[in-house]
Amino acid sequence: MQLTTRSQKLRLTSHVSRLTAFILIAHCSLLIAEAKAEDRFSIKYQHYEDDKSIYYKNTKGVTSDRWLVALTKAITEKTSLALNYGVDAISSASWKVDGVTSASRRAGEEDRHSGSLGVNHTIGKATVSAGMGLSRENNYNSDYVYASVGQEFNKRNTNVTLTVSKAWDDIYSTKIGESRDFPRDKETSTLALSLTQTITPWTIAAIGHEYSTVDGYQAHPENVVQLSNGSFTDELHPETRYRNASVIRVNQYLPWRGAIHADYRYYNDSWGIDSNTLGLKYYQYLYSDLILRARYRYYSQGAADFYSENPTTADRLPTIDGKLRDFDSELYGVKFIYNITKLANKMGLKAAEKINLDVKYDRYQQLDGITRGEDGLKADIVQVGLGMEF
Amino acid sequence: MKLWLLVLMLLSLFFTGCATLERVQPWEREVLADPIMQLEPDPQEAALDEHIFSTREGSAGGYGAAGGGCGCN
Repeated sequence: MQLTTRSQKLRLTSHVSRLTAFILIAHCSLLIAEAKAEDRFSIKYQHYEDDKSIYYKNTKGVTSDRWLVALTKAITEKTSLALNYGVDAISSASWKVDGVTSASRRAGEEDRHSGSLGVNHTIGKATVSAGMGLSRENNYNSDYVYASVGQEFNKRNTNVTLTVSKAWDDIYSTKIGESRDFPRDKETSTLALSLTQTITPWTIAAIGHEYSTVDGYQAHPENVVQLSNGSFTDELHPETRYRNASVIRVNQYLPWRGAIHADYRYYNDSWGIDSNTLGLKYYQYLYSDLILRARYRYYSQGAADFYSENPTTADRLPTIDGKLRDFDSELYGVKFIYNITKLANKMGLKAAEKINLDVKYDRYQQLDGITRGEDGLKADIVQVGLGMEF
Repeated sequence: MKLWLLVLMLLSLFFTGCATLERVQPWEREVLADPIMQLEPDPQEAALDEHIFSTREGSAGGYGAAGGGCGCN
């Protein structure tokens, strides 16, 4: 077989390396498989709906329904398997860019299926985890592997965890009249280090840093950019991106059976985006089996170096990706977590040792109405979940 | 480069701070074991949130939720 293009050679190398990683992890999973601890099952449904596109101005938004199922099964006292499956149904407005024969297009309905398999093994005060996963859409395939090592010391008051992961993506184009060479590849390598520390019997804190490199096609194949002179061109992004995220988190218990969680993240990348994120969550037991959580998140980012609200022919990397602009956002919401174990037992249902039901509503809003000449994106997020421990 | 220095400084502070802390004893951990004191009480919610933010904002990562795929809409 003759490999004629660099793209074909890269894809073959990528397929070989991801297959090798999968075989290694599957082999390790079988080697350490031996049976008993705590089994868990959980299912979560999410409905997401926003009011406008982050790509095209004055265009309708997206509705998505997503299901996640997770099962953790102990196969020995020290080893457990984790299985995850997810499915998304995404509805978005189809649109065309006026005046372009090969108009931009997004499918009205898209499905995404994802799954992962992981194994956790405890050796003394250390925990070793490894896993692999995949995601499939009509125009985007992704495969990934990860491994992590965590070590407890200082009488289990300190934990240090190192995680590495690698993802291989294939991007296809569904643009009408596509003439470019697709599929294209993207590889993401991530290294994360975190340290967790109990400060007092009522306080725990964590600090972490994540570094990732992304190589390959990172624009959206269907996005068409209208330039200031009225002409149209395909979206282009740099093919390399280096990303850094540092996070600090503190959880503080409160004497009235409540807790406050605070987190801060500083992020920057080689495209010129830097951002600050502040999160606050307040938990309160209303009854012994009912928890209320109130939440607030504030996010602020600067624009990518190459982003322009009104791109011209002089822009070498024209884009309409609204994620790359300068904006702030906020999110607030409420969640209830109800432990229904007693109720289930009264009804004669003894399927699990612990059963939790949860429901939440979040309101997300981007705050850049003035700069874009329109209200920022607004989204409603509803989640309902069921968790069982056996 | 400056960011790495900042991270190193924070980690050093954290480690030196940890060394001077009084250890929390096993019998003092009742509150820390409470579900409302877990750093990630609901991993599925964290993964769903991370996906929403990463498809609506330019930043991603740092909170430890692993995953793949686009779902860019």
